[in-house]
Amino acid sequence: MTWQGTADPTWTADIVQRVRAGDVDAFGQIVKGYERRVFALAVMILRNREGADDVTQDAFVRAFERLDLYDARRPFYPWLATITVRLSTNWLARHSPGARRETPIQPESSAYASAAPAALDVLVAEDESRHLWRLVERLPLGERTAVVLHYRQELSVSEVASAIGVTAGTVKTLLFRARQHLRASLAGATPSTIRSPR
Amino acid sequence: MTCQEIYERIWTEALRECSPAVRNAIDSHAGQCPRCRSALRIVEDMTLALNRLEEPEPERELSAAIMARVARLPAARESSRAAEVSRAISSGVTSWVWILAGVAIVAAERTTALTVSAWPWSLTTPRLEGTGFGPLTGSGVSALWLAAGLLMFLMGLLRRQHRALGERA
Repeated sequence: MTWQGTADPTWTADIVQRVRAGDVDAFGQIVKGYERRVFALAVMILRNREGADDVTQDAFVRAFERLDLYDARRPFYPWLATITVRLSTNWLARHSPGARRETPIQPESSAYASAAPAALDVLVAEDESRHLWRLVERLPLGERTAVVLHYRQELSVSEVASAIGVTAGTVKTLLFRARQHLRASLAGATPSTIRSPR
Repeated sequence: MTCQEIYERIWTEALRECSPAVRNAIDSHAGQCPRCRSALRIVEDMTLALNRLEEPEPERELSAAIMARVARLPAARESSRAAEVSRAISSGVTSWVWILAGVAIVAAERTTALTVSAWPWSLTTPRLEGTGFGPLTGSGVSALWLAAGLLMFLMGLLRRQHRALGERA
């Protein structure tokens, strides 16, 4: 799915202007327009619904407090995603000190290995979404965040870089590794030896 | 680009953001090379599947909880107060504009009417008749001007009254 309404920069710019002029209720439209995306991002980073709930609330509150810092000429969501990613990593640091380290992907069960030739066709089947979410959830933090922001939330590589606080080259590397890990998970094979981009 | 370069690009590039030239090179090569075609299909299928993922839904109360927290922020309270003051000032000014405009129209109509009726030559050359201004009894349009003026005056008074009631509430 795409986010037709919220993708319109004029829509957001208009609302932001009203909020800045003191119309606090107008901020409710921003919340309604973006809460699903922010929540989904937080769930994927934290792998915890309650934590995602807290982070989503904090992200909007922070966005409201710092709305003056937002450059209305730029798209709104990448700015909001940056806040969400930072709050999520803070939450992880508070709740699981080891979570920020990049951990290798867990080995997959042999059930996926046996489905290797038609692995991607499986994704189009009924429970494709749940299956793929599980695979994405198992990716290391950086790859997971990059995949969700780039593929699911349709941010450009440079926007993802800004949200995560790394260079575009690093994002490409993260996406590359994520694809390799997903491919390996689906095929039950070892990631190939293709060089990562830098 | 060699086959190996294209193969690596398929895996390493964010294909959505490739330049058209690179994308064309990849597509035309993949049309002839089974290995690159297979890699491209895997990456594209994966991208499509990721793009179609159904996301977890937040609780229904989430936006209400967010707005409750936002409303408690000092910045929000201050902002609302400032907006209210601004609205009140703007509403007060508008009321006065209505009242004064009403008074001005009635005064202009009456002055013109008195002037025209006081000048004897105006009876033979009713120069102002076309404008609608003139003695009340002599022109229907004149009555309309008076009615419009009084209506505006009343609108202004009503707006003021409404605002005063709102402030008391």
